[in-house]
Amino acid sequence: MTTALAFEALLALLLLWSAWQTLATPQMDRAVIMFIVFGLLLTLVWSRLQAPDIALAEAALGAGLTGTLLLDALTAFRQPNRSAKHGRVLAAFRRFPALLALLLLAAALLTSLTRLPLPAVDLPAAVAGQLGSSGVSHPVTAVLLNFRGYDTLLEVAVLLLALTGILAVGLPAERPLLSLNQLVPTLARSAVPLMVLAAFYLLWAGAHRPGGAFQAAAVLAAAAVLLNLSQLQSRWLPTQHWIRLVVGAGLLLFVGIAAALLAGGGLLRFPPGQAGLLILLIESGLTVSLAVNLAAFYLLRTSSSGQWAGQEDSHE
Amino acid sequence: MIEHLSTPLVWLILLPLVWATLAFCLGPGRGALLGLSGLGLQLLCAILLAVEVAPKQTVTHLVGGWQEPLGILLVADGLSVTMLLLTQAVSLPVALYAYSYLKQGQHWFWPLTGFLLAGINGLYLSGDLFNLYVTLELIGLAAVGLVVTGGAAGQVTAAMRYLLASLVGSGGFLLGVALLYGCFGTVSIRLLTSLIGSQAPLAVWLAAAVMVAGLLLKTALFPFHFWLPPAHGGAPAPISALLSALVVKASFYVLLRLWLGPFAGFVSPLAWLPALLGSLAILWGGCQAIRAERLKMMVAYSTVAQLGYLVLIFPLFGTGSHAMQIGLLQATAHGLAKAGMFLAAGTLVKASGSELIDGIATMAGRLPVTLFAFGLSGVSLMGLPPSGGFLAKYMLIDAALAVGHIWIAVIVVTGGLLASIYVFRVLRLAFLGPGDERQVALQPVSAVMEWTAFMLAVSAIVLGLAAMPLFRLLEGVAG
Repeated sequence: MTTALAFEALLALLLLWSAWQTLATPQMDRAVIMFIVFGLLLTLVWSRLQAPDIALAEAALGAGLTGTLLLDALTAFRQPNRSAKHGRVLAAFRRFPALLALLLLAAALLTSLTRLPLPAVDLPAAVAGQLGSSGVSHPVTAVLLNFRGYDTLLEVAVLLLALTGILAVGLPAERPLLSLNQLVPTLARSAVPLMVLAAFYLLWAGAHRPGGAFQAAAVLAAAAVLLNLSQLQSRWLPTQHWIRLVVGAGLLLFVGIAAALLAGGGLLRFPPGQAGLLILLIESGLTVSLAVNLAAFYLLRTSSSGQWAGQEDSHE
Repeated sequence: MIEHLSTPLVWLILLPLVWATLAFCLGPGRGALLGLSGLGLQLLCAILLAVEVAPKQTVTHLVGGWQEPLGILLVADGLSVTMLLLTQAVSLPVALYAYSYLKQGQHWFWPLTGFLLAGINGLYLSGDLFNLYVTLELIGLAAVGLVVTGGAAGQVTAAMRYLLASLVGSGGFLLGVALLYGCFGTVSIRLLTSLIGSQAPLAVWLAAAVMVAGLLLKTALFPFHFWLPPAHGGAPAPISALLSALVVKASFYVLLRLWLGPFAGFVSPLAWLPALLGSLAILWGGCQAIRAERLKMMVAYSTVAQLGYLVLIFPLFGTGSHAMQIGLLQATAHGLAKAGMFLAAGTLVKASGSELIDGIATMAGRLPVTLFAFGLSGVSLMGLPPSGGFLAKYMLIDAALAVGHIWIAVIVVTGGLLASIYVFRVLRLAFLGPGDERQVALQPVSAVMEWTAFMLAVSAIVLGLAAMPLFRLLEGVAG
């Protein structure tokens, strides 16, 4: 018991330390690395809190994909020897009100969390009570795809929207990546098949244990990014129609099933008999389209001319 | 079976989702036809829903067939239907204008607008706090994406600032949702309203504080307005119209729902606080609009001021006055008038080739319809009869005086004076300004651009003469 407590205390301290390091360091690359460390520590925290679904998502999306995106942004905007020491005292004074407000908020949060009342509504019991007619046996999947499937539908739209936003802002030109190229190809050749296998397992497992479309898609996207890092996969161009079609198809399938179920009396009202099959269908579609969607955040790049508008590219 | 399929409430969310996704698949600059037909159907759905809600006062839909707290409840009452009608009635003419304004360029207007409207419609129909957060995210991301359309470098900076403000706002809201879930075990607004009394625990106070602050940031109420003028003033005109007329109203609506719903038991003594910020917004926004040099910046600062009127109704809740009717009339009148004004301003800027207010000297004779639209919108913003803006401001003064809040009446009158200064400054230049010797050739503008602005402006005026249906729709709404 005491070992567990000591481990948890150490974990909490490390989490705070890495968060502080991320914010306080003047070097951007160090901040990004510390952000990834923070994400990995948070993964451990979630698994200690018996929340393996969130731990999986945090590892794949929070630390993995976000970390890669930040590293990528860093290479794009790298400025030689940019020093943040200049004007540091002034900056500290400017930050003081914000810091004070945050400390007050943190204190208020801690105080209120220690005296939370006992919830009047027992939602976990309600979930457990209806799990039998949800079509799946894992409560998290039941909530995500059945009880609150409407939220998930809109979240999928948010991801597609984020991709549209990236396209609207315009894409930077392709450029050489971090100097990982020597080591990575061998690693990638053996890791990527395993990652694809893991993604299928996660998709299948989602029905009865931690896993599901989002985690499976994140692993597939990570595999695509790894292939690119090891120069086995070139970047994608916005002119490639299949990317948009695959990303759009997942959401359309979800909306289509949701709307078709209106005939049975309600949006997304799964008939208990077919719920399992329909959820697997939706999740399979989402795994593919979300994988392409997430990978596109990283892999979509413009041609070297800097103008992606409409022109087929000669660079690739 | 057919009755089940023809639920306008659900289609108001599904239609824009579908056409946005299809437009995304088609690619940049495409999807206009899809979008316009989708918007037409949405307007029809909103009207059908209003007809359905009017006699019953509330129409609900259980998503997935699950009761609260397990499932998500969609609710339409007079308040949400009013906002839905406004949203569809503004977005259809604005989209027509955009079709003419943006042409086939390399933009993503159609998918972004579709997702924006799915988010807004979803928000007005949601009865669930976490679901509201998801719709706020949809709206925020789509709006930021729209701001960079037309992509000058300055726009990316404005969009980045908007994105950060929007994310901090949603972050505060989400923190509050988590705290409320921790206290009560549910995120259903209806259940929370019955569970939270006047003796709220500290966590609920904290939740209320971060949620209200987050929503005020998203609504751009003074002093949280810093992100609005560059974002709304710099975007292409049809996008500014959507942002100013519709997007900021969505977070205000959530604030109103929380204030009169879950938090009603303990926040009413603090109603002076948003009203105070609203007063400062009216004064500050008015002064900045008078000082603005660029036409669309002036219109954007006018939005900062007009948003202030919306929160002036907070001290009037529970005093027996028609605070809800007044607030919604102001929101509707401002939505129509501001969309009309931004569209007219966009036409003037496009025709004259100058962003400056001075650039529109002597335009009155050359673009009479657009100038008339600008003037009519101004009439409603100033609060001159017989416009919707006049009726809202008149009723606000009347209600404020009835309960002895003289300061609210003074602020409303002062705000109207400030508005008349900035509107007449433009009109005076347009009719009497110097520049007859430099008859610069105007860029051609389409009739669609001129008449959509005109139609919106006229609706803002007509609203003042025909507000009774709106009031009747709102009769059953608490507050």
